[in-house]
Amino acid sequence: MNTGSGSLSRVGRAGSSRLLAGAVLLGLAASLLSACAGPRQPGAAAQNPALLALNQRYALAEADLPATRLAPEAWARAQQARQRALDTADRVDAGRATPVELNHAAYLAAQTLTLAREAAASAQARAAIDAARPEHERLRKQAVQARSERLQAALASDPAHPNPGSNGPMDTPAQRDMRLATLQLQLHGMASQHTERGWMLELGEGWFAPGHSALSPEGQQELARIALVLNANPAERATIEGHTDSHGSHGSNQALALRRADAVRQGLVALGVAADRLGTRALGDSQPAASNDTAEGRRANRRVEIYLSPAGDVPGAP
Amino acid sequence: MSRFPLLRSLSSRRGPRGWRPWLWLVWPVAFSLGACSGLGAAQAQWSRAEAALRQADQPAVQADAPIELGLAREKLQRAHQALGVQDAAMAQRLAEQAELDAQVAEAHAQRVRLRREEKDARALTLSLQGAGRSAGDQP
Repeated sequence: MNTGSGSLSRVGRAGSSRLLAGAVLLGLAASLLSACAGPRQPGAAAQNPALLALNQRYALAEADLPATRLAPEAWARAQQARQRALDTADRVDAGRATPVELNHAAYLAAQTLTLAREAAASAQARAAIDAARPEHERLRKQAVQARSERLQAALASDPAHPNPGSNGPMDTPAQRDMRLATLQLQLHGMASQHTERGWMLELGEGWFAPGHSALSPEGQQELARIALVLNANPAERATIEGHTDSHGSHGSNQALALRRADAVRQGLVALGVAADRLGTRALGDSQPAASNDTAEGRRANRRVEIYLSPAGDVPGAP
Repeated sequence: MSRFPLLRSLSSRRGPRGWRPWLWLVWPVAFSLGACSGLGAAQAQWSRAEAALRQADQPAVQADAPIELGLAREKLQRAHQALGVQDAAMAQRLAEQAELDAQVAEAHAQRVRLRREEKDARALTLSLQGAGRSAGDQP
């Protein structure tokens, strides 16, 4: 009779013999594999050129202490990447990774180190820029103060100008210098240029339709900005000169130019500029800014020019 | 008991003469899953690299780090080709490198820009120092 304990012992014996056979097979396979790999020197992967170059770069980076301090997180990532590359080298030595994988790990580590160095250099530059800002402010204030003191001294020593607060007809060179600088700032962005007759502002390029004197919406917007400048500089007066293209007779162009100048004058008065500060002149088609042979040229010639000059200057004198 | 012989043989703990038919199905399935997951991971890495390159590919970086950016582009393209021929390992490696190259390009361009700003700041300091001196000295 077959007992249960007998069958169990048979199964146990069969299992252990299978395990033994398996172990023998594994051992054989391992020795075959190692034989195929050939004689292996310990640490041979450490001679990988990419790893050698990487180690040199890390040695240099480690010597650069500010770099490691300025970008600590990037530096920590770089060290981790290097450790991964070294681990891969060990795995290559142990036959568990390929040289291709080692090259890849070394490349990643090198690029991570580059990132750390770039981050450190950026942090260094940013710190220098931040440090320069207050110095710039201080120097700017110093320069403005020195300039102001210089102007005050020039005004005080000028007997021809008893009242330095106004910029009227008796402008000294220093006052004029300051006034022009202020105007230049205020006129920034407008179609303006400094001429012998003072600052010239131009309302042109499509702000008047042919044969018409009404300002376009763009012209009205620009006029509002000019009114602001004039209101901020009560000592300036403006001479408004109307121009036309060459279409039509000389007489009709003169009349049209005057209507255009008047339209601008009325616009400025409506915007709060005192009427007695504004003069008008009609120049018709006598002073074209561009050729009247083309549509573009005629468009540029339909314009109004506003000359700003100190109140004492004779308005309208070209 | 199942009515289908195939299912019955698959579900039986042990087939005739100790043969386990399910074992012969496990290995192909496991290999296929492994290959799929390898390609999936490479595809995901490629997407990350592509996003990094898209972020870096700005006019300032193109101007200040053209070589680094070009390297990232080239590797991303090669990674795409490797994906096309189902070479997951190669695609993974190239995409990892491309991602890092794109980041390096961006960092390099930023460093160049900041160095330029730093240089400008130094020039401005000198200019302001000169302006202060001339404003104070010249009547």
